[in-house]
Amino acid sequence: MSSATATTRPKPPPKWPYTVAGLALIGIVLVAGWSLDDAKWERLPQFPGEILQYAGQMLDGVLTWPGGHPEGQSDPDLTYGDWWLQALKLMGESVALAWIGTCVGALFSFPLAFLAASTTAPLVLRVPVRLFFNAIRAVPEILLAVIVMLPLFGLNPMAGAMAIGIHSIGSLGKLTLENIEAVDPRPVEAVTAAGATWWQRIRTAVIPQMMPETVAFWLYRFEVNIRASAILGVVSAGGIGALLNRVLRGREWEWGGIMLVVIIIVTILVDQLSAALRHRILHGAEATAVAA
Amino acid sequence: MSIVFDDVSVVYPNGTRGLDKVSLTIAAGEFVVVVGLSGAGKSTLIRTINGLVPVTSGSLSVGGTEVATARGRRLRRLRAEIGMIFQGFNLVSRRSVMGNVLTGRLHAQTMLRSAFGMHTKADKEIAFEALERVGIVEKAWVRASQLSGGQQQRVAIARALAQQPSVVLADEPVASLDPPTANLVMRDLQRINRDLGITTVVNLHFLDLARRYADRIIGMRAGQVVFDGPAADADDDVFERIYGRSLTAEDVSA
Amino acid sequence: MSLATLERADGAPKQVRPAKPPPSPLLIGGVLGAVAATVVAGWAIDFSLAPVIEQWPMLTMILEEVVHPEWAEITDPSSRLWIAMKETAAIAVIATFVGSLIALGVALLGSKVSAPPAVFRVTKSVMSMIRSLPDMAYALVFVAVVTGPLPGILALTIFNIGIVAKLTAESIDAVDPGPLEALDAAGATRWQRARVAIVPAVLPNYASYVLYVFELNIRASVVLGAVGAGGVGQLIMLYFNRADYARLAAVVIVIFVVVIAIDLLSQFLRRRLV
Repeated sequence: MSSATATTRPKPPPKWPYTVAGLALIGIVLVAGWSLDDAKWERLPQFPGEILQYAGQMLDGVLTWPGGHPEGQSDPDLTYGDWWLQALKLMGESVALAWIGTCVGALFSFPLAFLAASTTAPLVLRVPVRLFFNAIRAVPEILLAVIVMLPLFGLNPMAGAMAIGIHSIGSLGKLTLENIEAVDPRPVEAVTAAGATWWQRIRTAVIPQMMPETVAFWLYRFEVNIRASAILGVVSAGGIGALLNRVLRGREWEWGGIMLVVIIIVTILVDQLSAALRHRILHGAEATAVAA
Repeated sequence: MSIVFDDVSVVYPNGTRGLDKVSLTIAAGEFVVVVGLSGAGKSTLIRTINGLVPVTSGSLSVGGTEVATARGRRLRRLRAEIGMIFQGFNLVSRRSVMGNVLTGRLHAQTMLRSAFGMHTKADKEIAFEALERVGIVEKAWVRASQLSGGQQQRVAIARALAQQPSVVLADEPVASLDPPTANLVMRDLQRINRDLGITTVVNLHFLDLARRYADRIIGMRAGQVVFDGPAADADDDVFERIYGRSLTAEDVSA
Repeated sequence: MSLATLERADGAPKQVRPAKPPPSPLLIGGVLGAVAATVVAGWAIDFSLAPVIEQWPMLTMILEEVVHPEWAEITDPSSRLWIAMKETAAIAVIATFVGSLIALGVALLGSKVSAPPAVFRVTKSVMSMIRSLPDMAYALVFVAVVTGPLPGILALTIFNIGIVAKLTAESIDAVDPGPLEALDAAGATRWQRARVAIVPAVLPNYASYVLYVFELNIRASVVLGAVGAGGVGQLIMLYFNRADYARLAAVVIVIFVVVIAIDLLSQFLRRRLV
């Protein structure tokens, strides 16, 4: 650049592309809103009031002494404590089926991922395995449950666990193969240079490098699957979802409140435990001690 | 603006002593270079001046304002008077050069204007002038991340100038640059000090750049001032006092 | 061999070869814990693969219908399926837009870089509580107020705020502290720091999170309909209850194609962003 042009002040770049993009985005949202002709937007202002009212009743249920008897129940011996116990038992079932589902996902996705990573598999194998991962990821768990698992296992938690498990193969497979591809290639090269076979290379140079991240993903997927199991309850594929669906639709807010609190507490506890484990796996004992 | 340290000590939360009873007066318009090993307290010294590091004991005033007790709005107004230049340039890399220089005008902006990124004509004029002073105006609308290290440091100097400060602090401004670029940046700082009469305090790792550009050199070791005098007096003997060993060729070539 | 003889010649004591250390107790504990958890969980849900064999004829009967989907549902643009699909898309678009916008503000309150300690702690714990409830639970409560797309939009909006705010707050935590220090030194307010240094720095990450939740929303709004919150889910429940597997298969095909298309589009956009 010559010294003559250096002293002239350049013009700012145009801003209109941003303006156009912003307006287009708002336009899309408005069109989407307008297309929902039975959305009953006018009911929106009622939400805060009504939700607050329900939340109040839920809180009543949660804060009532568990030995007390709720009103209007056909069984006079029923106590709030029974509701707590039932919620806990079903939430336990949700956690159990999420765990089994995660195990199934991990068990199948792990070997398959090696057939899908560009560093460990030839193209002819990679393409179909990756397609398989993407295909199962694209089918929501609920459809898998409805079409395949419920007819096979009936209305019970095994159906939910297997639906979650199959779906997890897709997402875990994708993450695992990304871990495999992110492995430092130099040790692999060294092992290859030492005359290792395909299996020896994976066993001695790849797996030790990608294992911590992969196990951390399994744990993370377990957290996600606990939430997913609630959805499967709606089609009666096990866990707390089925009862939650029935209770909230029946507007039994006190009972519903107890169930939601159980879900929140158990989920947060499992999340914390899993986060601590993941941190320990990824960063080792020293870093965990410092963080704590 | 003059800067007065009176028995200033800084102790970090982990117990490290950053400054140990430092007393100094820097007159308005002076060009002072602080030298010393890393960890000697140079960085702490410079960061106490604009309150980025709080003073533990003693008193420190800038242009008559006590820094140690300044909080919130008063601290921000004081900081607006003091431009700062960093070793790592500290530019917002995704913004344009102009956007970065305009951050020097933030103290003069209303909340609404900064929310929408609108700047007054006057602010833009100040920013352009600052860019012209460091000779990089042609890059005004280029992303900061696309510039070389030397160019980025000149943008950072322009950002400090856009504050229209009375004091400029520079914390190891040339440590990430090659020697020729380092000299260019030091010359810019010297020119700004002479042309605009801005009090300038620069931290440097090496003595020879300090000798070349400073009016006055302050040598630090273990949080204490071990030398304070005109650049001409900073001989090899002084070097030993500051660095705890004699001068080698390596120290001079930088 | 030669080394050993050398040592003997020197009269030095023979060096003991260290034994292989046992695996760390934590690793053993971890593996045992995982096995125990699996056994307990398996028992809790009556794990059994026997039904796969017993019920196989049942499944083949259903799959027989599934492989002959009701093509009319797909080819006719005014079919129930497409109307529901449009509704699902609209729900996802609105919920993503509104939720992400709110989430950006919440994220600024939820990071120690941008918010005072008290504020960020409160925000973080509220956010983790909101995230711990599945989107289905919100939909169930909102459906009690009114049915149709509105509760679906609200449930997903809350779900999006939870995810986008968490991820964005984590990005804010990782923002380069250099420019922030420069702004502090220039006398910027908290708000100006956010606007000038934090938001531009996290914008590409934020945009990629928004695209990510949009993907999730398409999937989720498929499901939310199952409790009456609008969209394709309602259709799934209808056909499921009628055991109309041919029409269900048509739904699966359309969802499959739409989800994959949106995945690819958002992957392409995200790759350009970061």
